[in-house]
Amino acid sequence: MKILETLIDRNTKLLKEMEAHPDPKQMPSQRLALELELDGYSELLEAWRQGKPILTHFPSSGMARAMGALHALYQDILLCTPTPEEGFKLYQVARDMGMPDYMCDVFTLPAAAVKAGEFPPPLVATSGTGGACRVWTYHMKAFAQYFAEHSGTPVFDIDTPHDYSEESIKYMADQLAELTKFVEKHVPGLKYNEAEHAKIIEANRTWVSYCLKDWELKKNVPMPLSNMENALLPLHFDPSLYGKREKVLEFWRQRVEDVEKRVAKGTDREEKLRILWLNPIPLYMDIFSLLDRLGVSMLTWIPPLAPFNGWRANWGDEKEFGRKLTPLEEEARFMFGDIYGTQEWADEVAWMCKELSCDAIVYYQLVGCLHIGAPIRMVADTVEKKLGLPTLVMSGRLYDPTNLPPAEIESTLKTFVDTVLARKG
Amino acid sequence: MEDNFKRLMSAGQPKNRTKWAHAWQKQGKKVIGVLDSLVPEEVIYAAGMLPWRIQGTWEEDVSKAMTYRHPQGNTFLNHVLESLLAGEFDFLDGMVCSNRDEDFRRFRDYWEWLGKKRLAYIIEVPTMDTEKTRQRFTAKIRDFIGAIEEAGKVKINDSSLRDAIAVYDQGYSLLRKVYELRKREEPPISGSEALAITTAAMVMPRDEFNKELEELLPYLVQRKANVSHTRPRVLLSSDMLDNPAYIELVEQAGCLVAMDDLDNGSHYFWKTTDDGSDDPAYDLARRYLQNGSPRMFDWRGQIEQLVKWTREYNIDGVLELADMFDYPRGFRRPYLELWLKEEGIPSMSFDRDYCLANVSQLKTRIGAFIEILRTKATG
Repeated sequence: MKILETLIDRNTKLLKEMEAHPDPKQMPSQRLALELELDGYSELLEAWRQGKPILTHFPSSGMARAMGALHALYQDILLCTPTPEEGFKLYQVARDMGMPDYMCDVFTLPAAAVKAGEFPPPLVATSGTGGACRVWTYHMKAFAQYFAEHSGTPVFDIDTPHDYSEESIKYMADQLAELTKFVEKHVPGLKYNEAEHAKIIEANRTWVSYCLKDWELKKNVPMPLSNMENALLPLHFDPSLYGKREKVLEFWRQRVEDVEKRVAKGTDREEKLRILWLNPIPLYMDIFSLLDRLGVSMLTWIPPLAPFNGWRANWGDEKEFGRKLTPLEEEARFMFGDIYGTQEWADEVAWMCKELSCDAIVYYQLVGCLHIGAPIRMVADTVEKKLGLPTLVMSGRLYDPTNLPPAEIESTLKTFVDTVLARKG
Repeated sequence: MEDNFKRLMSAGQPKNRTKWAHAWQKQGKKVIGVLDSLVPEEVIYAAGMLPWRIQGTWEEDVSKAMTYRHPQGNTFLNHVLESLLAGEFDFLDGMVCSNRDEDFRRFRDYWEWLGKKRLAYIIEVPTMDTEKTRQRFTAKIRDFIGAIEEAGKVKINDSSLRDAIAVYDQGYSLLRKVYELRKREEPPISGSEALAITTAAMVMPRDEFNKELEELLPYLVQRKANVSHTRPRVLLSSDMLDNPAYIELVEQAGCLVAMDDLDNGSHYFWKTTDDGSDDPAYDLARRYLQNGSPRMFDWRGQIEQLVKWTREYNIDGVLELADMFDYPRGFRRPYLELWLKEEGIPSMSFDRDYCLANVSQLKTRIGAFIEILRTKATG
């Protein structure tokens, strides 16, 4: 509970500070972002304290909301963890739970946080909802088993298909329908509401349309946003994650408007290089400021969460299969967002580099994440061959600096930037 | 007969394992590499092709492969890639693997990307055994049949598939008989010899393997394995372990590996396919979904099977030697240990590289485990 309380305290103070000392350079959407985060933390804490149903380790926020439950993405909250030490201590908790050392932080640390009493435990646990990422699948399976074993949590297994097709979507949607029945049986008071789910899907569609506008604005050279401003994760502000969906959409509308204004006004940012940063960042140091100082614009992207580049984030689309999908089919389709072949992925990265006028790629290879780690060579070679761009690979974790110390990251990035600049002439 | 037995056991050794494949190709027939035991080989055999199990190099140096690989990638695949880059699989007419885990899936893509374009097929194997997943897998097996037909310009009908299933079922039954003999206090074969037999099956034409093993069975019934210890009796659990020297190492530490829980061992043949249904593809789906791999979600059922084997084979302890980056197995480990403990079965898990490496360290650790088992046995 300490992490949530600290985050609530931090955001409250930041908002008060903004109120007391308005910064004309700050974009209004940043305030909304802080408010949204605060709403999310507070809603979760209150629900936990009052014993309201919270679904986590669940395949979809939209489904959870449509069942009358709150869905919390603990991994997103942990990305905002107040201090790296808070995150670091969770590694030992995960080891104590029997997780192997090559666990993927993104999915292991949230479970450790539950074990440490930082977040509420799941009411039901599911496995196999990692889309194409079978690393995620087995993390989910391990967590589900852990909670089943230690808390008696009911577990629902989902078999995720390998290929993207209408048939696979139906196969997955059928299982999601069974899951809703399973939840209704095990969690009194929850009932799946398809009409409500449809409304959530519609909000998601609007959200993605804003993401795509945001993506278009990133093409501006020089980049009109600082690296920190640019780092907002589109999935972090997914409307289905929040009780106040309209406020999320208002955030996105405001965000796009803010960036458009910046573009119109022009920027005095010195931009020597533009890099595509693939995958998460080490959270134990301030990468954003470091790259700002080096004159590098950082266009963040996490491959599995790629709706903002137009990748199959087609909520509500009726053209693909020539019919309107049911809300559960929509969820299934979204879950397949990361199902693609490695070459397809490499080509996509090359396309993104071209669209965003990038000079290089930094590939942060998260320990234990084969999903993003295994394709590195193919991505790097493809981008080099198609566009002549270099790729820097760094292997590290989210919160564990022992694997890749900050000083090493800094010197590696500096050397890389110098090399790319020299190459660029 | 002992010579015949030794010859059969050496079939899976690096110097011999391509022998049958090359002979097959000389007859103008195709050889398809099979990367893992979740692939229904019967389909390939039904097309008149030889399913040939892919192994990685047993040498330690995988430096070329590591320029392509994730540092926490499965070590078996590191070694397979090293062999691939060295051209050791150039003779193959294609490769098939399952979507066992993320690494296998990406590995297939690299296989294709590296220019081995003849056939690089991945078959989707569901993670559970239910009627719905059987139906799904049946459809996927039908797709696989189509791909093999196209690659070989042949037709596979239900009759040819049934014939292939019958040949394979015969092989599975024979292996089952061999494993039955391992229940004896003084078994006819050691653990390493058992693995040598099962891996021989994976590189030989199945009817030829069946014939040889059938002829050897009466001899094996009378044989006594040349082992230094008959106690403690250990059950070895792992996946993608195909080098009998690993089991020799365990046995040399002072025990008998009397049973295994290996994808290349018991799981490879424990179930037969023919269930008398109208659809042979469905029968294959059922059989392969009951493969017992930790990659399947039924962890409880897998450990229950293990417990059953420990009773039937009078096992003193379970030793898990997991590939150091075998994700499904790594995540199952706490439950393996917990559930075996609940049954009063001592167990120990160590990580290993695919090739025989860190021998001294492993010997010390395994020796310590065996000591624990001995102490327990003597009270």
